Amino acid sequence: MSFPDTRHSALLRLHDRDESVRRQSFDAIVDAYWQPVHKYLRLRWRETDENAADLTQGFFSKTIESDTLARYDPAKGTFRTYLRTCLDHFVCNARKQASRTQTLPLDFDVAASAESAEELFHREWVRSLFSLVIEDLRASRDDLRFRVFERYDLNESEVRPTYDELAMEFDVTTVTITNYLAAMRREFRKAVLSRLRELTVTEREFRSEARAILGVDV
Amino acid sequence: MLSDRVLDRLRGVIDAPDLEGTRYELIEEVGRGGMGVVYIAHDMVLGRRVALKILNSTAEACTLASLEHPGIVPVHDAGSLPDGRRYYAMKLVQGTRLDNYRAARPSAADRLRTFLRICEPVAFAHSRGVIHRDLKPENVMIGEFGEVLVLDWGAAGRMDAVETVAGTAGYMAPEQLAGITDARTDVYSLGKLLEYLSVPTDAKPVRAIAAKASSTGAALRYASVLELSEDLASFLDGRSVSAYRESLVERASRWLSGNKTLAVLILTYVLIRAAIFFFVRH
Repeated sequence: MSFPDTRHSALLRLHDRDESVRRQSFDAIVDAYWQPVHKYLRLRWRETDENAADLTQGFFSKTIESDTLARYDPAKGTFRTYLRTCLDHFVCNARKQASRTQTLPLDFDVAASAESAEELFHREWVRSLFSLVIEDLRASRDDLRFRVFERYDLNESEVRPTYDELAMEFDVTTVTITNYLAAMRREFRKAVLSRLRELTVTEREFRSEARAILGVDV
Repeated sequence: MLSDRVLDRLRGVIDAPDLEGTRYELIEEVGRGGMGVVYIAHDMVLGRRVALKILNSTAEACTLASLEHPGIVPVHDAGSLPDGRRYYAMKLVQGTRLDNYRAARPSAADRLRTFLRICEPVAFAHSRGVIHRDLKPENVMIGEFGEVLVLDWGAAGRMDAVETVAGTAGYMAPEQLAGITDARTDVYSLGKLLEYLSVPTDAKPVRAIAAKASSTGAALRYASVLELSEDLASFLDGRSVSAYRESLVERASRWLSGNKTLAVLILTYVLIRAAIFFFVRH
């Protein structure tokens, strides 16, 4: 099984006439943004884990209900920024409603700048995007190359094994380890671009996001 | 979910250039700036190490290739990576950065001569219509054999063009903030570099030259790098400098220190004549 080279924009497919296509597209977007939204609510809005999960669920339900995602206009900015702005409005409204019945918590970080909120959301979004890509790669490549990549580039420990140690562990030459890692990194980069294509609408937005994440002009 | 450590590692992995299909093999990253990332790479065809700069356009490589000067790092090769980024390979310069050179406390004469050699490639670039726009200690390298190289021409622009804002705070001319640049923009940065290389005990004319070069108003500076270096060379040759008005005592003292033999001869002559006069009279 090989990794799909080209993905079509899920955001564009939200306008499809076919209900099942729209549903699939919405699921793809939720897959990519669920964790960033949840983490953003935890860190930026200082919600508890449970509240953040409820708010995330509520936010995405609301976006289906009010067709928010389909109203995104790429001419006004990236989808990521649009979604974050919608999320901020959603949380403000939710808190206003809650304040009618209970006291607002005063510890949330109202002083945090818009830029730091954007950076936070961006970082979590990249984390989610990379996680999805790694799962795609894991599903499509259950071979030695992926295991080498996992042992080296996905290794959680501060000190990673050397190429020589990996060569001994996997019973291949050091050159093979170098080649496997180079190939997997190439595939990872390609897969990230492919996922990115799915989560952007216009070519301009795709290029801008690619530059923000990969630092490259594609 | 991925930890912050793995996330940063993957961002590094994804950022690292894919040199597949090129003649280079990546060794390590050595520098990163707003204009690109520099790596050490192995040139598999010629079997040597090169500095490989990855950037988003070939403009810098073309600018650099048009500037053939011993004080400017030569470009060997340029091309595109499979991911669309551009690269160019240049000579890997081994040596000491200007900030480290200064930390080794060289003599005043050495410092000033080094500064003059920084001016040479900059003046050459100006003669070709190119301004560096980001002169600072980190962008000057003193090579193994004492050669001085001006690096990182990523912010360089044509002298006659209105450019985007580029430069480094502390070395950037005030007008650069408005995107206005000409030869005097680099004169300002050179003035700041001279100030950086100077120590409080340096002669007043040297400090005056640095102050004139880094005047806030462009019209108050030297009109060209050549004028600046000529003024400093005058100081090194024991002549007066345009940036500093000497007192009579300073002028006499400078003349004496530059003409010691002549002064001794004149003094000897005067003493002998005085002795003869005194002997004849008595």
